[in-house]
Amino acid sequence: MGKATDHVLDAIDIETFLICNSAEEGRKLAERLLVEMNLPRGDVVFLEHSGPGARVRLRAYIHHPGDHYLWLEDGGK
Amino acid sequence: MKTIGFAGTAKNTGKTTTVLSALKELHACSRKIALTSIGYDGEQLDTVTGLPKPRYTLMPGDLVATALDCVAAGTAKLKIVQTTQCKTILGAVVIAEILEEGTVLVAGPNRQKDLADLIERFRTLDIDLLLVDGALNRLTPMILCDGLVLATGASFNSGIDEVTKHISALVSFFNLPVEPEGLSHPTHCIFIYQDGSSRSLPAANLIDPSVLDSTAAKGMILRKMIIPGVAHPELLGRLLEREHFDHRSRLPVSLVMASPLRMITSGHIEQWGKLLANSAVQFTVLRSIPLICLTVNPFYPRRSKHGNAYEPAFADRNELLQSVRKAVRAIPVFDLEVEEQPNWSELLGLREEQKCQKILT
Amino acid sequence: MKKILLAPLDPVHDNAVKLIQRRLREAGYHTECMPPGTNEEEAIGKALEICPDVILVSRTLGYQSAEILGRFVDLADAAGLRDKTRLGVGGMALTKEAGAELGFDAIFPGDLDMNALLAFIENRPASGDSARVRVGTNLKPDITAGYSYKFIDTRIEPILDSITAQILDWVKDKSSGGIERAEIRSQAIQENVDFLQAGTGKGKALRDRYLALCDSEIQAFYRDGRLLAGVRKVSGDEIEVLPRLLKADDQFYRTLRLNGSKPLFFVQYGTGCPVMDIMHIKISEAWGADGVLHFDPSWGAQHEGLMSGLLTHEHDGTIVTLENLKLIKRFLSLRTVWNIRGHRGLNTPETLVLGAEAGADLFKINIPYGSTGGGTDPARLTVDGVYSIMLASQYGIPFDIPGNDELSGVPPHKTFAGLLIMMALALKLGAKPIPKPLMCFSPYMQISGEMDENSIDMNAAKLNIWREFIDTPVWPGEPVGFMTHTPDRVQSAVSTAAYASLAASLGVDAITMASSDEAYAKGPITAQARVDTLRGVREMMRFTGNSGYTATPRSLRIQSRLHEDIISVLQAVEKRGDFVASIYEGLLGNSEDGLYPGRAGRGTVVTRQA
Repeated sequence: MGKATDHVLDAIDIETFLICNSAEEGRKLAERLLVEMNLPRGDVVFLEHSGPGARVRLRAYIHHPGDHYLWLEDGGK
Repeated sequence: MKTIGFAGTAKNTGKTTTVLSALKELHACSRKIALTSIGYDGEQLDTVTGLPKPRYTLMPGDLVATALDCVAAGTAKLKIVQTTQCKTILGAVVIAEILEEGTVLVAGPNRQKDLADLIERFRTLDIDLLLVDGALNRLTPMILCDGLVLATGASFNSGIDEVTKHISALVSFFNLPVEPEGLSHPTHCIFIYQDGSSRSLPAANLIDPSVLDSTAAKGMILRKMIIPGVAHPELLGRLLEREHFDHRSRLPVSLVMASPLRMITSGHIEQWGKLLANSAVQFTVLRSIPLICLTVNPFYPRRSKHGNAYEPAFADRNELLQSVRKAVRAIPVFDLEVEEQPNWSELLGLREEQKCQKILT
Repeated sequence: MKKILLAPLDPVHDNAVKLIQRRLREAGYHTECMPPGTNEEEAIGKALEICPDVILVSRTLGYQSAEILGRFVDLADAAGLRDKTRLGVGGMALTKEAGAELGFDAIFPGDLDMNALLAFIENRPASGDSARVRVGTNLKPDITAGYSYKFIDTRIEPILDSITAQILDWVKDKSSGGIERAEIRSQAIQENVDFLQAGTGKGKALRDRYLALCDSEIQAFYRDGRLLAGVRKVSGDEIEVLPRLLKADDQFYRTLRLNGSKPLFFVQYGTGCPVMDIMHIKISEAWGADGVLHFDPSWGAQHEGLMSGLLTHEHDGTIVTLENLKLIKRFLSLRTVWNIRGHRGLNTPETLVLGAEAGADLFKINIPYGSTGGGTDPARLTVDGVYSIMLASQYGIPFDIPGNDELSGVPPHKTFAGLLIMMALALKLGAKPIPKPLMCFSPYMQISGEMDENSIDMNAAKLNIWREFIDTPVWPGEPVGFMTHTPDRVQSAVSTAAYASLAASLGVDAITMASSDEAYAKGPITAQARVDTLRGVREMMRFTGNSGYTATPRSLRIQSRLHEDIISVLQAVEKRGDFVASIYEGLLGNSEDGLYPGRAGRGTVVTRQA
């Protein structure tokens, strides 16, 4: 079965709500969250601040098109 | 080859842990082992509660009968040696040999008929022991085994008294005397009367209340009733109430049931308890299965206070063990987490000369 | 006739069971349905009485309900039912593994999937959309079938006849490198010449003729094996593994439509890598897509000549090579309709040659749109476009005409006039065109305030107007809801679903839909984003079903004004008497509309030797 991340077809999306005072603060927190989750090359796909915090969607590509796809190894098992 | 079934009174009662304990000793004794399941076992997380589960590890030379979709799912390296006709949700059941040690996912035949076919296949494969893992509370196919190991515990009911009451009632089914040889397995329910006359019901099973409407009592004294299929205890009780009993001689009516396992599949244990306690009837079974031992497990999945997830919880370990031991004196009872492990070779009646060297030394 | 016993073991939730019963009866099965809250004994008792072929029980799976289902299976086995009766269970939270643990023969989790259910009852493997699949017929629907292509508004017929006559007269002695390459490619395919291997003899001569018509980068590719920046070869290992990974082809397909056979749902692919594309296509097929559109990189349209071999590159759009197309085709479901676009570049005719060879079902050609913005010079694309329409006609492959020039701010009446010219041109050349009006938050209409109150009136007018002009299929694109999407996946999926629902209820024939990554520009589209919108559209199709929207008086007013404006544009183009000049001069969209004539291939039209 191998590592679960090897089975990610292209990207991991993380959705959450961050308590923060502004969109800027939310973005900084979101970027820090990616680092804390060991996804340093991640990106903030969407961030909307309103009221007590920000709705965010973060993304880290595991396999870019044209990469060597780990999910193809061992016949995709 | 011996076939041993491992069943539980409910999910999470420690069935897999029990099989693992047996596997450990049998591997140490270099027994040739085969493993299958009438359900789905060996997964990392429980399919219903999502809680972690113990996994099966098999050794080179062991055989496993599992569905095709499971063959590549574990870490063990397998070689398919036979493909059976049995189809499951997860694909056709195949027999595979373990080439390299590792975990296996086991999903074998779930119908009695298919398990019978599989056992026949294994007979030709030079196996000491076939272990059949049960599924949930399902027992029916286990009648094909030479012996049964039952697991119970707090997962059946978090109250120790309830578990004890239930398991001791359950054990009493396995103590029912077996009909002497010669009585063939009929295809319909048969009533035998004092004058030697008999009649049969149009069905093998006593499960549909319409049976009561379609058959009136004959007005003669009932001596014996043979029920080859499944019977609901309440329906059976109502049927008996209409029949004439020999109150004068106090000779009980003989009730011949298919097997303890078929009895348990329908109705509640308490309803059966009432019937079994009735001195006017005496139960026998056409076929039985030896109860080898019991294991108890204090673990149960408790619904988490937050959200829909489950969290592990435990009943009092010692109290549970002592309570069940006290109630079921004739059968060995183990808690595999604290007790010295059972001597499986002895319990399973494997021949003395094959006794494990490694354990002795 | 097969007998089915339905037993809701849940105390209350029997609605799904009632629905299944009705559907099974409609399908001609004998069904018996027990009341909700039926217990295991009652269900088995009934089964022993009626001897069904299949028992379907329903129960949501939870910690203690698992035992109830287990007991049911056990009882069925003990009562001797399982020799002849198969057991299925439906309910939320069911998985195959849980089904195996419980001992059932089949599980039906989540929403009702009648295809899977009928397959189980009939004891056959689950297959696709049974409504469309008939033995011995082509599995693929023909979008153009049933349309007469007769003009309904007879006023436009002579105008279009005049415009198209001028076009055909203008192109008749003209050619281009693009056309010549298409002819060489066609010959190479017939003679089995592989340009990558053609070092000597006749093959070499053909390749040399081809390369003489190519840009220097393409020449370097064939002569020195030099790849363009970001391009690499696909490894053989990747392709070897794919068939094993994708063995269960059509097993999981479920139509997005609640009823009927229209519209077909298309998604676009073009991740840059054909292997990744195949995965995205298979995922889209599994979640209900009926068709896919191949997108090539934008630079492919701006270079003279196409490469060969299995190639991947690291930006959007998958390189058009015969090998890439054939690889993708190999993995397409038999029912998936495949569109290869060639509408705007210097390789339009050649793309059609390769597409037809690879097995395309549809092409995409639009001269006015393709010769604007970053596209091709209008004169060149008019010559190449007419040739391409002739190819499509010879191949018998329909093509669609995307009206995406509206995006830059061109008013819809100008875009639609261009689409109508293309329609008329195609019909004159014997091809089968499909207009593709853009369903969007139209920039022009925003400015004019037509979309302030709702998004329906304007878009409904843009769809309904087609059948005032001509009896034609309509395929809104591309994708629907263009300019509405944001990087928020929920917003994006809801918008796509809402636009799809509007289009479906107005009786369109096909819809192109985006993923929920449509507005995300910093990375490739993800598989989960594809599932998002397919899921959303399915839900909306379920919601709207065969009900829907009808045009409001306001929508009808917009439609009527649009109609007259389109005719005015056509009259202006006719009056100009020169189609190519009309594009240069902005009659179909000018610099004020944000549109400029394309520049690629300017001055490359040649006069054909008599």
